[in-house]
Order: sequence, then C-alpha cells, then structure tokens
Amino acid sequence: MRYLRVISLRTWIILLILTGIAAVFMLPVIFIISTAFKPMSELFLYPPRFLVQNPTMQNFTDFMQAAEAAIVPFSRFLFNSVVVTGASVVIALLFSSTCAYAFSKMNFPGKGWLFSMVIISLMFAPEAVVITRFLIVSQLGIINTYFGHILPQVAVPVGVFLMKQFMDQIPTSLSEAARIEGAGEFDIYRRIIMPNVMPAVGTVMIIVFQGVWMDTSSSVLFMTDEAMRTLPYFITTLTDGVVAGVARQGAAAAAGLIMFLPNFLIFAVMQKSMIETMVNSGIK
Amino acid sequence: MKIETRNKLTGFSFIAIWLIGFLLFWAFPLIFSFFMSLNHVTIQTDRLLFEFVGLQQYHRALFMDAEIPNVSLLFIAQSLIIVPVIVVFALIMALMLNQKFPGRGVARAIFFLPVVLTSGNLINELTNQEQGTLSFLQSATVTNLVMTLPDTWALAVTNVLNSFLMVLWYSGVQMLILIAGMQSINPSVYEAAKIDGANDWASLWLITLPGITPFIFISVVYTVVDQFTTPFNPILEVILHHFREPATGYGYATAIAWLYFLLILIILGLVTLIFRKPLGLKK
Repeated sequence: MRYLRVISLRTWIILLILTGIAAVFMLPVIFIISTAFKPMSELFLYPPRFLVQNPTMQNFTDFMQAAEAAIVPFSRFLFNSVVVTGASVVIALLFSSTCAYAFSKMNFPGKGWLFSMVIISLMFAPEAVVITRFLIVSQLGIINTYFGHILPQVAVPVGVFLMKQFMDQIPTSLSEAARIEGAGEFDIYRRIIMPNVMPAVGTVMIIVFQGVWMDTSSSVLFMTDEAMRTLPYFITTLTDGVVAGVARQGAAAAAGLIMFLPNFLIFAVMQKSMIETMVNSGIK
Repeated sequence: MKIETRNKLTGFSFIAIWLIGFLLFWAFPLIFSFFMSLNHVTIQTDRLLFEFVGLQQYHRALFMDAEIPNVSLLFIAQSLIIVPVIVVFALIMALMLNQKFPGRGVARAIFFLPVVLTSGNLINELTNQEQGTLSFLQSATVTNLVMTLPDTWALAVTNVLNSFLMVLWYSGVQMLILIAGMQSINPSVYEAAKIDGANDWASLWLITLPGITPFIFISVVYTVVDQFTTPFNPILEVILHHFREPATGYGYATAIAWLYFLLILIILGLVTLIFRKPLGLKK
C-alpha cells in the first residue's frame, strides 16, 4: 500500500473522473449481459428495467431448442462464421498493410490517384454499391461459396487509410537506413514498419472482425443455400414472423450475448498487446 | 532491368492483390453507381432496365424533393456540434489515459470498449431490443432521477444524456489514435522543457498539441466519415427508402448518394483547409 500513499492529488482527481466515466462506458455491456438473463415477463416490461430482477437460464434453453429445431444444424452456421471471419481478418490485414506500406513508403505511378480513390470509397454510402456488388459476385461465379463471403471484405479502404496514416508518422530516415544496410522492401515492411504500427493493426483488426462477424448482408445477398449462411443470419431468423417474434424474444436476447462474447474476447486480447507495443515502439 | 523499373514493380507487387479486390468491390461499383444515377433503373426478375435521363434525377433531388434539404441541413448542424465534441472529448480522455496512474491498463481497456460496441450492428441491436433510442435510459433508476425535475428540464436532461452516451461511444478509435500520437513524442523533449522551467500546462500547449496535430487531423477525418456513414444517419435512411420505392428506384437513390458524397467531400475539404497551417501543408 506504500504505492498508494505516494500518488499525488492530481492522480486522485484523474482516477475519480475516469471511474465515473468508466461506469457509463460499462452500461451497454451490463445491459447486454443482464438482458440475456431476463425472464419473458421482464423483457416486455414497461417501463423497461435496466437490470434483471429474477435471473433465469430459460433464454439459453430456448436458444438451444430453436437451434436444434432449425433445418440446418447450428454447428454449421457457427463453422461458417468462424471460417469466414478468420479468413477475412487474416487476408484483409495482410493485404491492407502491404498496400498501406506501398502508399506510405514507396513510389509507383498512379499512387496519388489511387489513394484518392481509397479516400472516396471510404466516404461513399455503402448502400449505394450493393446492387453492383451482387452483379460482380454472381459474374465471378462465387455465389454460395466461402469466397462470396470473404472476397468483398478483403479490400477494406478504412484499413489502408488508418495504417497509411500511422506509417506516415514513422521517419523516412528509419527505412532509408535499413535500405542502405541492404534490407529488401519486404524486410523493411516486416521488421521495421509493422512493429511500429501495431496500434493501427489492432484497431483495423477489431474493425474488420466486427464488420464480418456481425454481418448479415453477405448471407442475404450472396448466398441462396441455407447451409452457406452465417451465425448472425441465423439469429435474425429466430425472431422472424409474429408468433416467433414474441415467443423467441428471450432466445434472441441470449443469442445477443453469445454473439457479443467473441467480440469482447478479441478486444480484450488485442488491446493488451496494442498497449504493450505502443509502449515499446521504436518511434519515440 | 533498370533500378527505377524494378522499384516500380516492387511497389505494384505490394498493392496488386489488394488493388484487384478494391477495383472489383469498391471502385467499379462506385463508377457503375454513377452511371445508374444518370438512368431510371427498373428491376425485372432476370435483369435491370436502364433508361437514360441525364442529370434530371440530380435536379429533382436538389430542387424538387423537400425532404432532402431538410434532412441534410439538420444533420449538418448536428454534425457541426458533435464532431468537435467527440474529438475534444477523445483528446481529453487520451491525455488522462496517457498519465501514469495505478490501474492504467484496466482503465484503457474499459475506454477502448466502445470500439467493440459502436460498430453498427451491435449498437443497433441495443437500441432495437426494446424499441426507441437507447431505451435503457428510460429504465426505472434513471427515469426516477430525471422525473424529479420539471418537465422541460427532464426532456433536456434526457437528450443530453442520450447524446452524451453517443459521444462516449463514438470516440473509441479516436482515443486510440490520439494516445498512439502522444506516445510518438520523444519523452526527452518534456524533460528538456521541464529543466527550462516549463510547467505541465505549458508543455501541453507547446509540446503535446503541436506534436500530435497530424493525429488530431486523422481523428477529425475519421469522426466526420464515421458520423456520415453510421446506420443512424437520417440521409442514409432517405437513400434506403428510395431504393425500395419502385416509382423512384435505384437511379434516384444513387443520385442522392452521389450528392451526399459531394457534401462529405466539401466538409472534409473544409477540415483540411483548417488544418492546413498547423500541418504545414501550405505551399
């Protein structure tokens, strides 16, 4: 406890403010968890209550029952989701980072023009390109394949944008020095640039993971075969129709928590390594 | 092979695969949507029918559709307030989280949490679950607290709380960017300033803020883009509405999307103009 005594008044004030705001930050998480355990009577209570009064496991039982009753086994949806999300995250990170490296540290014809295109697509309403994407996916013949899920996610403009901006902050002298020592472009990218932009890598990874893991649109648009669709799609079907819409509300609440957990886990893992690399980074 | 050509080839090899994906799923759809905005598009069971109408749909969106200017003006006004608030909030939080204090790791973890939550679907789920916006605010405890106030005040307090939560949730990535920026400043600069007699306040204004200007710029751009493409955005709702409306159809919806895009472009242009001097972009 000796440590506590030496911290200054300023630190105490900061701690106090942070604790207050942290409490508000935790509200949605608490809400998701507490809702998953609410019995039917509390789910439809008006005015709604924030915290569960009589927690029950009924919602999870309902969810398992609904999962068993589905034509396509639940494990299939889960498997699809894991494959699609895993592949998308790895491929998107790899190609966006090499691309960001080229934009930031190399010269090639059409660079400025191409980067403007990246910025433009970043700002464009995604809804406006849905039809064309469908046409392309069907022309490529990848409807009802894992490629149909993964390929449209590979070229995320936001990933390239964030990583390029971070790489721009790394002094050119660093990569120049490595070049003089005889390092190839790929070595510079892997050994010098990447370790220094880990915060950006972590952020982009979380953004891509979220986008793919929770996405229902590729299941709806590019897949006609039920067995090729993913978990979030299955969860939206839980509450389809008027009767199921009411009766399965509990199962949907449980599903919400189940979907949220991987998000939370990947976040917990990533943010730790992000902070460590930020502290050890060689830029400062 | 000349060194120059080889360099160009290596450059291309780094972006080649990404570029193919980008051209297929972003660039081409964008260009095609511009073509659609010049046509009246009808969807038939097996194909799309295009009827060229030129700029007519743009004219209609700009001068005849009363809904569009109304919705966009309101949204711009709202963004003008919310974007600076988000960035300043993220900046203050980043400054605090960058101090040394016990439990800093846990604190940072909690404050990056919104990054997990804001990405569209989950927050949608949250607001949809009990109909209405941020319904858990209307839950017993908060409502009881607010109800003790006079009516008009109660409404104002709820609104502020509502938007405060929004600000909190939309500032996660920006905090991350800004903390990374603060860590990129060499600590010996602060030590030198301290030896020269600068206090913390002076260091903040003379070292930290100028040092992280590029990162503040990235945060502002990210916030603007984020605000304008969130699923809550009323203009996107108008666009989606016209997608489903057979009378106006895809062509009209994409025309609005392109106008909307121009609007974001103008706003980002203004942001760049403001940051031109501190970023040293002036020529």
